[in-house]
Amino acid sequence: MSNDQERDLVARAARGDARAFRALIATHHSTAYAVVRAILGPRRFDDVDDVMQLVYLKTYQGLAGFRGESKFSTWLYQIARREALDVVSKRTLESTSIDDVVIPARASDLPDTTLGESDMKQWIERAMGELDESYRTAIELRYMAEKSYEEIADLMRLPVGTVKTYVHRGKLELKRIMSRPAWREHKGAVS
Amino acid sequence: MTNRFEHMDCERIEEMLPAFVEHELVPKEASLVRAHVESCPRCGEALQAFTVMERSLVTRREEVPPFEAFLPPALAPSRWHPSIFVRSLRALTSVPGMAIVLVMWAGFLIARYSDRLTGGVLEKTTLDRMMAFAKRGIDAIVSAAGGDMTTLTAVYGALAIAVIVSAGALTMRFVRD
Repeated sequence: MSNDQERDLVARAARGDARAFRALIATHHSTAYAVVRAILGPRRFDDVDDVMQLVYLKTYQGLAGFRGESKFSTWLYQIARREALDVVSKRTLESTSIDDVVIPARASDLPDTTLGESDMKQWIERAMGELDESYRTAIELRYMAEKSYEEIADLMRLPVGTVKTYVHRGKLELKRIMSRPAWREHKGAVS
Repeated sequence: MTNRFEHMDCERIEEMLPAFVEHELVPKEASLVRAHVESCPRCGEALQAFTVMERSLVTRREEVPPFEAFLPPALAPSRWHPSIFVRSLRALTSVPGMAIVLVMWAGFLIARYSDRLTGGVLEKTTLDRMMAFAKRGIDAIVSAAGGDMTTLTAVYGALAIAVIVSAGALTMRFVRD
């Protein structure tokens, strides 16, 4: 979608055109969803639907005040981030579980690469919860929203090199988390 | 000839593996990492782990649910999806659709009820009475054309094509959504 088309859709949506609003959201939905999932993390997965509904409601209500000084995608990203962070700050911390116990990985430990695709997905989902929020956001935007490093940098307002570092360090961290003996012993519980 | 990367410690190589799997390394770095993992079983195993992880991460796109589920009710699209028949009916009842019908109806009236074309023979039906007012206008048009069937057909034909083409273009826009 070109910038002109997007501006036209924003203007129409601001005038109450539901079809234009849906077209805008259809284009940027994966970005908003990835950010909300990244900030809430797997432990607050149950809140994702509520936050997403709130994000789109706030987006629609705020369109009249959107001056187009930034891209619509950046604006939506900020709304999604703000709403998700708001929910996180309101929720009390969950009680400590086996997953919260940080056990340093031994150098010889490696994730079990023979895991089935479904198992690996669940492991990654769980391990994502222990990542630094910045790493998780960069990874979710990269894979869940299928954004390029340049687009992620634009959204997160960071240099492209920093975003690449976040994604690569995040993956190193994921591998380390999944290499922990506690995780390896706990494998049966996730499948 | 050996190179410095082959002797780099495994930790440094492992740090480069995520970028290697994503093909983000420059060719020279990529070939050096490749050379290292081929001669180092531990790093080869780590590469395998990152490759499996990459394949799994790529599928995260499939976890994004449809956006419609999160829209406020007033903005959500109708759950009813009109069939092609209903869409056609909608087109027909749209303004351009009605234009087509009117053009066809006018053509029928001109041919059927013009005194100049029918020699003044009229059937007195309810419809005739209803269209009496229209008939006077039609007769005026036919008179203007001099009662000549060829001229009248040509003018009507050109007008009808222009109206139907523009109505068709507008209809397509109307139906597309």
